[in-house]
Amino acid sequence: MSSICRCTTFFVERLHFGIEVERVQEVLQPPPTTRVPGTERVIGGLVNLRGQILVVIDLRARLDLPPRLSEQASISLIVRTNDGLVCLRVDALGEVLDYDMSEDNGLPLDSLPDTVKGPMRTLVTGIWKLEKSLLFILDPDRLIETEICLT
Amino acid sequence: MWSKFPRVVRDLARSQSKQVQLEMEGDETELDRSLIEAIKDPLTHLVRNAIDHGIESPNQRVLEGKSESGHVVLRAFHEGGMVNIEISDDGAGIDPDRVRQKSLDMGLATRDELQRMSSRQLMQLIFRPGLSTARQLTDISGRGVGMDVVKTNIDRIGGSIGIESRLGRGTKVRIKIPLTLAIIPALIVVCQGDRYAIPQVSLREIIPLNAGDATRGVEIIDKIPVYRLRGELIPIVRLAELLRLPRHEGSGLRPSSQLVVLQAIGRRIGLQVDEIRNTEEIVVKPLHKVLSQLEVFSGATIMGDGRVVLILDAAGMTRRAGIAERAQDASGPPPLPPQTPVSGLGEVLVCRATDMSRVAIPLEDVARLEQRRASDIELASGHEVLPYRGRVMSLVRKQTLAGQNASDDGNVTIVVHAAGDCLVGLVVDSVLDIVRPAEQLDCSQRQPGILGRVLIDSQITEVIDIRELARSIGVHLSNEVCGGVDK
Repeated sequence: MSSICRCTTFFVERLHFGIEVERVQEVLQPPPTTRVPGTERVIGGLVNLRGQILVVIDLRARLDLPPRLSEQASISLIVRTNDGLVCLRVDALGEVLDYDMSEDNGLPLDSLPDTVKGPMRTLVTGIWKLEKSLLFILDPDRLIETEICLT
Repeated sequence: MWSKFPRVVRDLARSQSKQVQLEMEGDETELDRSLIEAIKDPLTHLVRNAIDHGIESPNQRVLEGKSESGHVVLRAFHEGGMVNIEISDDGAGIDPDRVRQKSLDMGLATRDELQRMSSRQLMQLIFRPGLSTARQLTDISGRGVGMDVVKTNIDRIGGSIGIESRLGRGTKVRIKIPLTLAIIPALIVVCQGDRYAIPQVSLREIIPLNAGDATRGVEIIDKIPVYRLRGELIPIVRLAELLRLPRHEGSGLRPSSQLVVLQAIGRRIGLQVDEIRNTEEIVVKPLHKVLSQLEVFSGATIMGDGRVVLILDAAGMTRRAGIAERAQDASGPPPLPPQTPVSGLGEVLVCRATDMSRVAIPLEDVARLEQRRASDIELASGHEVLPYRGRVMSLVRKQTLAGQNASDDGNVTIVVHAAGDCLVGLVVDSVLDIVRPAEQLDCSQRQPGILGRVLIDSQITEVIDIRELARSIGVHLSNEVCGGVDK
């Protein structure tokens, strides 16, 4: 097994997140969305990706952060999940980072401190301590959960 | 959808010196083009099987007391949210003993297992690779590849396939394909700036509610609006409220809105929307698992401009509006007289013809209504035609002796009649009502294109036979003549 973990990273507010690069199909400018009445704001709507209809998940809403200002830029990641493709909306794209797990003597990632509760708890699978910041590795399969999507 | 099969059948029957009659039903059942591509080869294979293995030679058939020519029937229809396709023949059928023997030889099952299998399970073995019961190999079939490939192809598009056969009587193959990939006609409406699609299956009629006569027909019962429609009280439900859209400015004070009367779970509701756009053929696409729990949407579709539009579910909306299901009279509105109408007519569309007389056309002959300007109508070889959805639709009018064609300047309504791929439109001045005539149809003075006369609201109304009218201008509404457009 390779000891290199490669991540696509991106930002929401000042937080730095990463998703395993194999799970990110593509990155694109946010396509026009259609709102879905009766859903929480975490469901950003529906978009047409070359004939396939995808659900938009707004990561800000998913993390209970204040909504993005309308003039504020955003970008969409098409992410592979267990239930098919999902369009994840974030503030900005970061670099692709390689993490050499062997350096850390088989203890690759820190886990979330127990005192951190809230939505981060279910989403974050590990913390990678970069020099200047912390990178939170997300589990794409936990992005959509019924109980938080429907009003 | 069946357009290429007559040729396949004819060529194959000739090459094998067999006589085969092909019957096709449900040619108008529409499918997504990608699906048609996916089932084209399996269907062709099954039709070949039916002729090659199924239908016997004419001599053999006579010996068995059957007619010389065999029958192959292709049927397609919508049922239970699926598109059903059936291919049946009245040929030799599949010998269960041979299936058992072959399966045993190939080690697909033990003798014990085979004895325990129902005939249905036994027939499913046909779909295993390598199994063929044909005694004779031909260049067409009998090589044992095929049925497993057919099944793989059907599985791949989420469908299922089953086979039933009676030795000496014939074989029937049933294919079911999910309708979520099917094309359905839908009405596009607008609510608070967003478009929604309403499947036409549940659509009954559209009533404009103008500010001027907003109160006409609308009654308020304990703050709840209802619409009085031909003696029936229909609860008015505002789409924006039903979808729990946030109130935006000016809501409730719109200058005009439209009431879309829907029928589902045996009830009718009037759905109030801001605007009606048009009707369109839409491809139904499923929603994400999480959103499929929203009962008011049955799916989504992509419009011509690339935007996603949600499809409203009439049954779900009726339930959310708090209206209980009514098991009975699912097919008609409650206040209709229970006795069968003596006229022998079902519901008819009552119109004012272009000569200002009253005409009616059986509702089952009406595919769609189109509002057009009279100036849109063009002339070709002395007949009126209309460019319509990329095709040319022939138009007919009620023949008038007096010949006093009235308002040719304003708008006309085209009552579109569809027979297979063939369209013909009846030009009328306006649509008046939909009724179920209670009086007897009087056929004593038959005229070409007129079925007879009937009293509707104590006024004489002539009932139009649109097929005969079409024939009078040389348009023959049968699939053999005008088929051929590959669906």
